[in-house]
Amino acid sequence: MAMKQPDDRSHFLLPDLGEGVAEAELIDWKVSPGDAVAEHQTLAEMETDKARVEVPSPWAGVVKDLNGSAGDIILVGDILVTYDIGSAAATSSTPAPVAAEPVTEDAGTVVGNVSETLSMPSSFQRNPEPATSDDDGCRALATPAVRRIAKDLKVDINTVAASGRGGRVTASDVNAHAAQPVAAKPIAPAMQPAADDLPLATRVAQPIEGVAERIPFRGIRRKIAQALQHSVQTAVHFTVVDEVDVTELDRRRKGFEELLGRRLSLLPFVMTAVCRALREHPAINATVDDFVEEIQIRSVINLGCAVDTDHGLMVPVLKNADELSIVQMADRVSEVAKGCLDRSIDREDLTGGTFTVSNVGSYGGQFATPIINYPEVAILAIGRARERVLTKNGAFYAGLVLPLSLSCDHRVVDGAEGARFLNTILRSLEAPEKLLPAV
Amino acid sequence: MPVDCAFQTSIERISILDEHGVYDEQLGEGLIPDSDVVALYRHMTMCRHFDEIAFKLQRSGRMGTYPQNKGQEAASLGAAYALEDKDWLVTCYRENAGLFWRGVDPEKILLHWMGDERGNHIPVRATPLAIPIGTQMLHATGLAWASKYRGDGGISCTFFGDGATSEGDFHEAMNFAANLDLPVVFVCQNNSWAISVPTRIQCSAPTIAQRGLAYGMHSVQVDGNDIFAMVKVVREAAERARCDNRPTFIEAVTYRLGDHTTADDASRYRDPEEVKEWEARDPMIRLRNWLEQRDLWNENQEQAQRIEDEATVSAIVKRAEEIDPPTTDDIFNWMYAETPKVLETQRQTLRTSSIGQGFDGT
Amino acid sequence: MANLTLVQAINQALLQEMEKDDRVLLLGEDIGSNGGVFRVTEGLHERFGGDRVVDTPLAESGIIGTSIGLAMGGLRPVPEIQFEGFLGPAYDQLCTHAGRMRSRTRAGLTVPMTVRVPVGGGIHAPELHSDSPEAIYSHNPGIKVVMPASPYDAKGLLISAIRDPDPVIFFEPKRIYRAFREEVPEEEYTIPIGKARVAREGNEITMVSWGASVVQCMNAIEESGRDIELVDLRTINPLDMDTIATSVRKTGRAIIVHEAPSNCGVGAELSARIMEQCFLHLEAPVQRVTGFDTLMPYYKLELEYLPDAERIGKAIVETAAY
Repeated sequence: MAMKQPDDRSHFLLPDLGEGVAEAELIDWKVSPGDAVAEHQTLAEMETDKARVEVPSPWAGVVKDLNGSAGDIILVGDILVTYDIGSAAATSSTPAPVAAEPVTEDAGTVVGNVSETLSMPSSFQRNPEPATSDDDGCRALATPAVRRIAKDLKVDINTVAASGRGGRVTASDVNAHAAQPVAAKPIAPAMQPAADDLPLATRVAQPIEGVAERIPFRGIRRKIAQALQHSVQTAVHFTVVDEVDVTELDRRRKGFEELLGRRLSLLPFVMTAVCRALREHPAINATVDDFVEEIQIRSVINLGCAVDTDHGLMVPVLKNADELSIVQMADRVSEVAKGCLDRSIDREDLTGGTFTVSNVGSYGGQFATPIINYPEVAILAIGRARERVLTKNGAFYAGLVLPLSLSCDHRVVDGAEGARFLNTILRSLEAPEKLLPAV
Repeated sequence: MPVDCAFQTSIERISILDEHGVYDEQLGEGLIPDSDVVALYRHMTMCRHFDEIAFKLQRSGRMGTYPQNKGQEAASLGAAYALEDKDWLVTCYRENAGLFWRGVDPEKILLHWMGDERGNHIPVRATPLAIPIGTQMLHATGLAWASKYRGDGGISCTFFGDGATSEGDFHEAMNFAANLDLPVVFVCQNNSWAISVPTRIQCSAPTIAQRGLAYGMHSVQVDGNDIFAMVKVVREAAERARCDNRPTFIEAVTYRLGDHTTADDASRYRDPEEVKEWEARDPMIRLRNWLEQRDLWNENQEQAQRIEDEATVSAIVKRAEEIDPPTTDDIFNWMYAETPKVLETQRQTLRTSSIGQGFDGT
Repeated sequence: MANLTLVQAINQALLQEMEKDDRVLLLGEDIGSNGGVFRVTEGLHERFGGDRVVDTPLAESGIIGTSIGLAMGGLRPVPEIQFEGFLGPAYDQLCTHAGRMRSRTRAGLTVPMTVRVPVGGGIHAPELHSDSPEAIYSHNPGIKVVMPASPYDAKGLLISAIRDPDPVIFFEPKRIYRAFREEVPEEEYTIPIGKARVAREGNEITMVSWGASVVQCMNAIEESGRDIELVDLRTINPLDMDTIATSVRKTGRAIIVHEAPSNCGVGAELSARIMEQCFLHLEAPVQRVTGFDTLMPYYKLELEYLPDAERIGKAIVETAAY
């Protein structure tokens, strides 16, 4: 096919020698550098898949360099020969070869290709079939005609209450929505963030199908920031705080350490107490779906445990945490923490939580106002345990006190309920014989 | 019972000037004036040079696929010489010599193979190059019929290869012409090869010519590399067509000296000995000898002719390459006499989707 | 003005055009002394002689290829292919040459040819005599495809087709060859190719159809008692989208009815274009009532296959209630 050669005839690109040939083997040069060649004079003999061919010079000129030696494979579109364009070339009157490029009136349409071969971009190489993403169940159902009405009235059709068959938004729904006075509208829940802005914790409306995936760690900070912002803007936070006398618990903890010959912190004990409490207060073991305006009381207890990494906060989730023993809890926490730090953790282990515990105390601090791991409805921050002088029945003693801060989503959890929940945790921790097996 | 013969005939083979230079004075008498023979020879040298340059154009990337005509000049040239300007030439793609004699601009042929439809716009009575094998003979049948219908005295002459005689449309064209009394001259250039498939796979009969007998038309075999024989045979066929409205089937035996096209390599399937044999039967060699023996040609003239041919062909190539490029509009403008609205929209927007074109307020 | 059947209207068109323009000649199998197997060319052989009404050998590719040559040579051939099922052998000449000749020669050679072909089912015919290949030829650029649904339209369209400088396939729905009569003016008149007809105005639903299905649609509309706009396409290629889109934007609902199978049928093309051009007006998805994606059955089951008033009626109810 016609090959676009340079206008200054400084070099000759190997053309397609026969219907889709992509390359040819150089058999023999028929000219040498410095030779004056006439138009149509044979430059080289080459061999393709289809035939042995002679390649003639498209114009008269003086050969400068030969680009290859016998046996080389030369691709169509590569330079075959360069010409010395400074010197007085032969006096052939043949004009520069004009490639049959279609000239178009629009910008950016067909341009003649140098090479006829089309190669497949590497980004299209076959991958294993990706998991099918779930149906987007969050958009309104409406016919095109109704959508036009919404568009004309500048109504976001996804915010219109649907009264039509099959959950459809009808034209009258749209009109009614548009007719509402602005002040009477309830505080609309914020829109769900776009899929790739998801917090690393669960998104209720879309349970993730079990695909193990390595998470790219770019942009984690960004994701966390967006998630926190969304949580604060959506859930109405209140925090109730209290201190727990864990003197007795700590004594038992140390007893366990000796018995088992390993280290155990207070954390797994607290997490166990939390699980017990969640069983007693199921309304707190819940997630909220603002889209369909629904609270989902969860039957499983999946405890998130905040881990601080150099990329920011991550919250790995311990599934069915209430079934774990103290030791298992401790081990699992170590495991997931390690997974977060070395980024080997599975995506599955970062989602599906129903309640989160954040052990800020390990870094310091007493009380906090933790931010809920949306769409959960509550979060418990554990402060640093410290020795304090305490009283009991009028007598002083040196004890260990653990500060706890519980934030709840006030839309879902009443103040009283939050306080009661915290109290349940307190009582477990202060009377550990119920919590723990006898040591 | 003795066996009755239901029908019996024979196929004549016409030869006047053979490859050894043997010339049948009687048959050749008065056939072509000497000055015309010289003109025909000079035309053949130009065509041969054109063919060589066309090949090189493809090899140097200046033109797409090209089918060489080398070795087959006499067949179409003899026919074109024997016919009149009002007669239609319906060719496939190895009849450059005949087409150029008729007055088709050689640069049109180059344009066709350079991917430009303007190469098919031909102002004389010749159809453009035909790519689907064996389909053009029906058009020749129809064109001859149109001439007969109008009574303008014209006929049609169609060319095709041995391969094309396997196609159904060949059969239908012959059948129509014979049964409806249409003034068609069918010329089969049997050049021995249809790409890599030899003639015996296209036809098991001893000659291709006898295929015409089955349609009840006069059929003859001729040495296709003998310009005298071609002229004689086509002239007779033209008269038969013009006067009697009867078609003729001519098998012109020749050989494809080059590859099928520039994308083919005949050395993969042909015996080089065979090619060498046929090179000796080149129509131009015997004609040159014939002329030189009669002092109608000499070496000086040959040299001069060579130089003239180079200039002629060079000018043809220049004209073809200097043509202004076609525009995207050309894709649309020639589909119908009047562009339908839907197509006009496509032409203006260069889009097939309707979004953003103001249909529905978008 | 006389009340003519489709056959008579076509016959009249041929007669009048042949009288007016002596470049027009007819060719095909059995069209001469036999007057055509449907008697559409009845009497023309006597009137114009064997030079203008020609019985050809039995060869569809030959008929069309020769006609292309005749047209290239300046005549106006009107070849007949006896049944749509036998267009197959002529497909190559139609698509490789007839549809391409003008563009590939930059108008150096043109093919003003009209191919007459009886089409469609419903006459209890043997196999391959009942198909509807209009989509196949519409898909080939360069060929116009026309299918009248009434005698009045048939005469006007055929005259336009014969006078058209480009190749036209003129499909004649054999089911309505003699089914009803209509007033057809004696004098010559043309109906433009590429223009649909609103056979009935309405506001609820737009129904688009062509050929023998149009009558089925009419019956279904009457029975439904609804206010349905009926568009008779008349020309399949090029499509008159202006008429259709205007109608669908008015009604918001569309039903397309054709005999040909659903898959890749003209209904699909119409649906796509209606979707593009009327998107924000649609109250319901475009519905197609067509032949199934099966072979046309032998005639015992033929009526189960062909879209009838009952099936169309169901579509009307569904579309209206969507």
